[in-house]
Amino acid sequence: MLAESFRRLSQFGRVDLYRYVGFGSLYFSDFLLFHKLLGFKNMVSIEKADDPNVQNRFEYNRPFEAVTMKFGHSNTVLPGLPWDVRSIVWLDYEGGLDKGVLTDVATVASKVISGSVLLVTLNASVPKASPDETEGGPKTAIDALERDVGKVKVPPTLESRDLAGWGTARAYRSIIDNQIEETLKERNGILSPGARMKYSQLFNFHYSDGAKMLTVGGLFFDEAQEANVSSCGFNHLGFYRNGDEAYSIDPPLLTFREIRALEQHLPLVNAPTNLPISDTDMQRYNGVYRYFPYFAETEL
Amino acid sequence: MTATNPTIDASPTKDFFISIITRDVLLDLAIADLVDNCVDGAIRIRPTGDYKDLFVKIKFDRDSFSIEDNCGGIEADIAINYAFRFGRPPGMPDTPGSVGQFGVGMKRSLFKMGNYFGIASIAPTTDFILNVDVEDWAKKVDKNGKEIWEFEFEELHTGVSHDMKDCGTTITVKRLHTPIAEEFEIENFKLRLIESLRSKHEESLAKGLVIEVGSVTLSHDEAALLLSEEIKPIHVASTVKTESKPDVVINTYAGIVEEANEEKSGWYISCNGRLILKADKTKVTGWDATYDELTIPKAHYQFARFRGYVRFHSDSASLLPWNTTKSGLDTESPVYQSTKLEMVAAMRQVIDFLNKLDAEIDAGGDFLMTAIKSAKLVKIAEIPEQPLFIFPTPKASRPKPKSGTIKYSKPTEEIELVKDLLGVTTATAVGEGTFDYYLSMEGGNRGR
Repeated sequence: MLAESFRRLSQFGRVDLYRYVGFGSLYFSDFLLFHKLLGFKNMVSIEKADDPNVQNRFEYNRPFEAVTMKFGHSNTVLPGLPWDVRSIVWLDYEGGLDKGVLTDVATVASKVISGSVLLVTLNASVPKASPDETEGGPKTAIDALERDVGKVKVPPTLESRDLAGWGTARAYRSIIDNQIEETLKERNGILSPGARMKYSQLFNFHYSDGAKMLTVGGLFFDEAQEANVSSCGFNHLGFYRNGDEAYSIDPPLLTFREIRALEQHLPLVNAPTNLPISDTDMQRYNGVYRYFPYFAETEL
Repeated sequence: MTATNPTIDASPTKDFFISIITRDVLLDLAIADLVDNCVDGAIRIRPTGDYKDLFVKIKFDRDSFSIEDNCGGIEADIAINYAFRFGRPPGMPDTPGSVGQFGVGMKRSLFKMGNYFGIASIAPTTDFILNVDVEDWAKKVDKNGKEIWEFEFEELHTGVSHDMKDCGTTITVKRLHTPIAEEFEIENFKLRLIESLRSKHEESLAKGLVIEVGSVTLSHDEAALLLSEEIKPIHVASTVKTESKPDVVINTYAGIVEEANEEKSGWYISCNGRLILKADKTKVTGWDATYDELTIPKAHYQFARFRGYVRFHSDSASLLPWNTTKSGLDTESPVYQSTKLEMVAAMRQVIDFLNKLDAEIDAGGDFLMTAIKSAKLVKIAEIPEQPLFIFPTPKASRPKPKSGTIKYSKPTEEIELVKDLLGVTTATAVGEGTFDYYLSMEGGNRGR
């Protein structure tokens, strides 16, 4: 899905010349995918590892020459990267939203050039009240959220029960959005109209991966390039979401036999009536089938 | 014609007020300043401190800003003689216990925001409408080229009679300066403003004043400390008397809460109900040297349970230790300096307790923690005077442990030999086996 979106960035310049910045971990799966599909030649993986032996292991697992390792905390590595190149930055965190994440978001929003994309992936489980009472930690989910991101970033109308279910993901999205808005306002203060940087959200994915996950992100562009943005046609993508409403990645459970039978009718125009699959499941599969891997590369 | 000494014209220019002093105040503080005027109205009409049914409504977007209250309005003579003067003229009647005192707040706030403002006020015996185009006003000069400083009323009615419930003031600012208009569009600005007003006006909110920002009605966390038979916070009340001036009453409170929250811990200082300093942990409140030690055991949030409150109150606002933007303390003020001594003494006692608590947590104990958990949060207004921080000390020493550990070393060869003899495989079993053997052989009846 993301690769399909990134292709549309060609309105801003050759996609293979974009720089990709991510947290590759030891598997570099996003790096593998994007290098092969989009041909990125300049890829940076940030890894918080101080031990030279651990660093060696990352270097060893680096899949392509195109990937450069940068060791350190993202809070310090990101400001040190050169930002004069159009970038796709995917900050795929393991945990939830906190001040460190907002610092990274602010860094990227303050530095990127027009045509760049920022994506943030977070575990959007309800913020935990303190497990250990003697530490005197937060007692409610809202207290915990305020501890994590700072009281002043949390809308005063938000209550703990609003964080239940996908509520935390919704709160995270709006806090990130507010942060980008605030940073851009500071960045734009000294710029003349036309040269000002804007942000338009493209993605707001909710999906379950053991835990509730949020991936939110969008495009930064110069006011003057607004026309380019519309010619990218992101709004024609079925999963495009530019506000609070999320796109839920929620593939139905189907057998291979059912999939093969169903795919003959896809993209769905008239739903087949001879299959033992409910209409909702057919619609759900219709929304995501193009992004499913067809075969896996396996070492036997 | 008589010769006169040459003079220098030292009168301020309008530009000084429009573009210079406005730089001294942040936007959220400028708005807080306007709220101060509403609060002063509330103090004037409800000296008993019950602000039920009184409100302040703030609205803004990229085109305009408005603040509306029903706190009594501004009487025309006050408006003519004082409210729109620059600086506070001597002889202006004091609102006892007021928060507006420098005579710059309202004008500064309005100039800061935009080029056009309107004030409509209904007071018990007068009502008026005043509209000011700031750019026009700035250009006005008399025939000698001297700046004209007057504002003209659009409408003015005196000698009328208005019901108190209809009295209030509405201020509107239009043609906002661009940076202000942009700031008003930012969600995080709104959140910051709400948080700032909520803490600054906590005491007024507690008295029932309703403050709304857009569609949000401000809630407040009332200052409270843990109190029980075993734990008693410090409360010291003192009065500073100055000849021929009103008294300054100072209440200092220091204690603990259960929630260890570093963001909230520290000193809170208010003047006439207006919070000046929030959760301060700097030299200003006397943490200096102590604070360095504090940061070390941070992992335990050791001092994150500390809360201290100082409330200054005086019928004459000018005697209180605040600066003109009410964003900080006038630390040189003798009133504050003497209070700081009290604060440091109070803080030492509470910190001593928190150190003991930290040591207890490290040692796996729960004596003090149990005392904390059984204490109740009590609003500071209800905390009795108490010069010392009281906390329990563990009573008897611990009961003697029922078992102990013996440890010694022997050559490996000998240990291996004893293992074989005892038919065991570990060194621990060797130790226990030989001990039991000795006890059964030599212990007589006392053996097992």
